[in-house]
Amino acid sequence: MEKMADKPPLCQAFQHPAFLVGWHDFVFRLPLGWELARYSMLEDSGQMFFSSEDGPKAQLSWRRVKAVPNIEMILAEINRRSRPEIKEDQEVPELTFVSAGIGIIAYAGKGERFYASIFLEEARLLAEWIFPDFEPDKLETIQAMIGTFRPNLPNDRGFKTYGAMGLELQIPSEYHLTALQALPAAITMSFENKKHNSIHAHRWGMAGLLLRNDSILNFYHRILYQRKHVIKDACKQSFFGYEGAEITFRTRGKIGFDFLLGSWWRGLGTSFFVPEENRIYAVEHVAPHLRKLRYTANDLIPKYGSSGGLTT
Amino acid sequence: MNPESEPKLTYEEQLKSILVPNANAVVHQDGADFIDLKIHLRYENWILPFVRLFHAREFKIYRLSGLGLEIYRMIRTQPRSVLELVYYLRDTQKLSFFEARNLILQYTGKLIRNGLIAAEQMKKSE
Repeated sequence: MEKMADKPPLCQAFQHPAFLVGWHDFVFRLPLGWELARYSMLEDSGQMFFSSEDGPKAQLSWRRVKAVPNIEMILAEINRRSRPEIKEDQEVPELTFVSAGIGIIAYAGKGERFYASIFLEEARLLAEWIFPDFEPDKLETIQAMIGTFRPNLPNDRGFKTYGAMGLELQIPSEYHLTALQALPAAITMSFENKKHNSIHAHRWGMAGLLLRNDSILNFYHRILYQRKHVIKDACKQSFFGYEGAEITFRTRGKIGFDFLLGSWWRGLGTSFFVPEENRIYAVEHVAPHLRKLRYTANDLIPKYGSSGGLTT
Repeated sequence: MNPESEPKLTYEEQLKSILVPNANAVVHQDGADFIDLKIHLRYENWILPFVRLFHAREFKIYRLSGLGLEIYRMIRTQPRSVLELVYYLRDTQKLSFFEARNLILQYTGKLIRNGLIAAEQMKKSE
């Protein structure tokens, strides 16, 4: 296998906060301009599609495997099957393999589809990438991206990294990603643990228009009130040096008549406004009455760097 | 035309479409932070007798304000491509390209359905 000389990562391409993808079992950073266009929520097998302004950029699919796969053989087989015009007795153009972090990139020739594969041993997960139109100058970008691909393991605090479309979170490992609602400039990620305690994280764009010269406290109060939460207390609070709000509320009911009969659960909502990004971030943690509420934006959103962007 | 039989635009064609104001949408009232546009309604021939009989309304007034008004005024000053508006929204509101694209397509689609603007497609050679 041809190993490329160690090159510095394309730092500039990964500084923007909008480009971290953290899913059930893996985390990686997208190159500048790439965005998550389609996704599947399944944990054991699923797909993601990435696009940029110029059009589709990549397709990622993942699946659980029982044994350690022979990645080079799998990539060669994919390469053979993607050429229906070549008969069985004819030779298929050979792939060149390049390593990138814990993954392998394989390409045949200019203008042809090329591939990358990563096996995450901890999760027994095989992640397979397909990219259109190989160009030598694209290789560096792809290699840097694949180099950032790593298993989503809990850190020393026991928190896993999740992220999509600019929302970047550190969530306790007992919580699982249950939903991602992706509206333009309004992203919501929801998590739930076995006891149905839930965490909801939001990232709203066009904050100037949403706030309309109002305070973040009033805005967030309105949002929680519209969701039929009973507001108990609201106060101004600063997060990472930004103007924010902390609201305690009560809520009940998830399904059917729970709305009338279910017990009241306590919620703690924290929100802050980042003027440099023109975004509002919010995190809500809902748990039973007796449970001590712990998680605020300070705990769940990684610290902001001096540039105003998120740093991990 | 049946919507299903309409040719679907490709991603590039969609972004290159030029948006022009509809001449039939006349300014009814022009304020500092709003504009009222009046558009005459067209009824099918078979329904016209009933329209006259029941004095159905002949026009509809739409009020635009805020960012929507800003976008409409841009189109009214000079025909703009969808891509130009996407870049404008992306840069002024610090959005990502796809966020801006989705918002612009949703909003201009609504203006087109209401007959306030129209979209002209660029020829393939262009």
